[in-house]
Amino acid sequence: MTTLLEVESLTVEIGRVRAVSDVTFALERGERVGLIGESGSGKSMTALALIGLLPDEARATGRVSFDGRDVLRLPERDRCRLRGNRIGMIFQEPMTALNPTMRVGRQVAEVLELHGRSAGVHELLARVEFRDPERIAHSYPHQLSGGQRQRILCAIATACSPALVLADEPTTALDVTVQAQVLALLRRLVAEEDAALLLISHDLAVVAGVCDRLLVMFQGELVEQGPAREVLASPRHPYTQGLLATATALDGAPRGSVLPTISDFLEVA
Amino acid sequence: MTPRYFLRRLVTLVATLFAATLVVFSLLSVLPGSPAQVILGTQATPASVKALTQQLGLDHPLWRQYVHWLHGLLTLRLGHSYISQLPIGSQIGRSLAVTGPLIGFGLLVGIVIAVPFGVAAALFRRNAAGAAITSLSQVGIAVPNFIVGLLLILVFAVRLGWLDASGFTPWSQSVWAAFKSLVLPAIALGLVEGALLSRYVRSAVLDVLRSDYLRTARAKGLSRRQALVRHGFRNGAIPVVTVLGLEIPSLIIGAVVIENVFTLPGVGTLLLQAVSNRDLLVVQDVVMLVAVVVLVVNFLVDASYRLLDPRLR
Amino acid sequence: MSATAAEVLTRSERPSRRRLHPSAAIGGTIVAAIVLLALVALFWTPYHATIPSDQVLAPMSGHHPFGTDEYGRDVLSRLMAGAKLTLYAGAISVLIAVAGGVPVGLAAAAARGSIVDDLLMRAVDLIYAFPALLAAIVLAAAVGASTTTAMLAIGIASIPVFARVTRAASLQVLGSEYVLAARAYRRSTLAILWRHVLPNIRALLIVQASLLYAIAILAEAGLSYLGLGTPPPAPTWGAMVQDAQQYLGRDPLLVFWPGIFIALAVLGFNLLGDGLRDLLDPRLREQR
Repeated sequence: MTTLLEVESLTVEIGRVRAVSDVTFALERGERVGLIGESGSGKSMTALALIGLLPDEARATGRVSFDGRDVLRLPERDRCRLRGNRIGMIFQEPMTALNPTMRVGRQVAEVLELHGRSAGVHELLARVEFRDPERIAHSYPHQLSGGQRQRILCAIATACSPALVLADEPTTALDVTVQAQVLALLRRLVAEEDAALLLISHDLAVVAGVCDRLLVMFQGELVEQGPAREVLASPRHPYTQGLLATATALDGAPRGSVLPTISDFLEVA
Repeated sequence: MTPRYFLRRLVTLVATLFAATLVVFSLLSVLPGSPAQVILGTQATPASVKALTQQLGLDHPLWRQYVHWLHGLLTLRLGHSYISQLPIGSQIGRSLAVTGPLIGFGLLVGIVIAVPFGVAAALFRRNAAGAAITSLSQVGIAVPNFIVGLLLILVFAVRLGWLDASGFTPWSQSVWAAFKSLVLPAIALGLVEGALLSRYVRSAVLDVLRSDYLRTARAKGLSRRQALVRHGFRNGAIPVVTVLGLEIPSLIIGAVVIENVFTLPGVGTLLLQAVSNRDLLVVQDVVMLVAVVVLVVNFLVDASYRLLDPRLR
Repeated sequence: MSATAAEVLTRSERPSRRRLHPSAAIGGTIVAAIVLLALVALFWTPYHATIPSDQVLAPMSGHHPFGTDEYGRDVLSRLMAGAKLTLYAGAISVLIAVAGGVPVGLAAAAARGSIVDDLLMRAVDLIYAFPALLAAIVLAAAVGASTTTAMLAIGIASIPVFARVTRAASLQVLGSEYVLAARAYRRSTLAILWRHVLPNIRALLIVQASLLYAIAILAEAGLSYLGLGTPPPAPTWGAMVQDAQQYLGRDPLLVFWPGIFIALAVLGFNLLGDGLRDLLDPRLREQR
């Protein structure tokens, strides 16, 4: 069985609102899947549900089967053993994701010690393309740029050779030039570990370049999924159609014409 | 924090101290009437008043008196009070032996109250317990500390008779008795401070709980508690320590009031007595003492804050 | 159209307005009640607040809802008169702090980075070295204690707070784009301060003023307690506590009624300030 992750009818409610509504999908070993949606579509909540880090007020139902066990029903202790170990997660804001009062090296070492790995911090930092890992390890986060910090977070997420890497908008807060570097790094790391990747973004360009399969979320629901090429070539759901159309609208648009928006493709619900 | 920055702050500190001496001196030297007259009483002859004035050096030009006083301050040779004839230095020394420990214990009580309550208020913020603690702290900062002191006296001294309501046994006589006479005052001082500090602790813990780095820590596999302790402690401590330092002037002021409630022979009592006796030299010296302590403490807090937070170095 | 998760998240993270309105409401009610008491006391109190009678240390009764003190004076009447004094002293103190602190803060912000800014903030720091009590003691030693010395001491000692808050808030507004535009139009600094900065920091200053009022009341109570405020026989709440202290064992309520009133007043202004702050905060946040 190469199915790594099976999500069945996942629903997440916060208060009276359904952030995630009846989502079902699966991930194979080593697969690279992109999850697209705008803010508020429920994609971040889905990722948090996969590693059991939903906010306390959230209620999740359904099944999230990883390594054959349902993450939603696992005791917290077992979930802690999964996190950072079998599943690594990278978040959006590199500027605030690291502890400002702790040296970077210690923060990387922490995940290694926690799961009993013997790999060295400097090795890991070299792996994410730092040319002087000793200096970096000795630094504090505020002495490093956003791109550098995100690379460190990538190192932390992949330190224990996870089977699944979740990346929630990893490049959104970065400059365009750095984005490319971090994305390429992520691709390489995931390939080296033969890990599955769930790349979440609102940016089609980011996802299209990396992923083999696409999932599209809209207002908490999974509205379309399929191989990337198919979804991009012939989108079926109006939202996906709108997304694609607006992404390429500028190319060849006649002067003075009105550019399309996504809502043009959707009926007002 | 570069040595150059530190030096600049130090220079500022010294300049401010000098300015403070000028302020205090000028305010207290514009008084009508002469101290010599006050000492000798209304029956004194003008001649004897003039003689005493000369003897005390009070007929010198003001700037000369200022320099003389400043010199005394810097060399710690504070002379004698006009009114009581007692040496000012030893008076202040003895009163510090009361006020110093009082403030120390008060601060301790404050921290012991603030940390658990503040952390609890943050962790239980969504339910009734958290709301109760927050409301309690609101009440705590509204009640004047002298009321708290009187309440403690009523319960523990008057009704239960466990401790004395007033008075102080010198440390040299009996350490235990001296300590006992400071228990209620320290609690009175510390309770109100604790209520105030708990709000800052709560806010600091909340900031940690909502932080991104805590989320990263959990994503590494740390349990909630592990993440909070390993990553939250230092980050949360920084703002709290800063506030603590800044609250020291309030503690000093609070001590003055508390000493009055419990009739302790501390700095506050010395100061107030000097005021009512018009013993201006003592007033000048004690006021400067307090101002110096406040300024120096602020300076130290600023320095330590910058040492604690690596972002500011 | 169902609410999006993002909206939900921000709403549950930010303290909902509905949950904190009680602060402003409760605080406002308490303050209003005390103001009412003081206003009434301007014209009438059940008995004269300072004239003694022979009904010494009477317990609570229909005639004297809070009893009488050691000189036979009706406690309720004294509490009411005390409300008058407390509110007055607090108001003047806050006014002094605002009148001193706000211009200094504005000037420092406008002159940011220059020597003027530096000097102004150093001067403010100097004041910081003399807490209100200390200043009151110095003034009392110099010219004798009175309401004026107390208010001056508290007011001046509170200038640093206002100066710092004003400066910080003004710097933010001055850095915003519409001020940049105003500068491009060659508007004078004074005009910018008056037309752009002040209206935008107004809310913040009101919140600060309310919180400062609470502190001023507490400080004034402490000063009166020590005999450094309005001289006797003025029925300030602090002085009432001092007078009643010797009867702590016999008639504890005599000590604690004024104490409770002080606490209520402070609580009221604090809650009001907090409530106002939360009410105005979302708007303040949007301006960043």
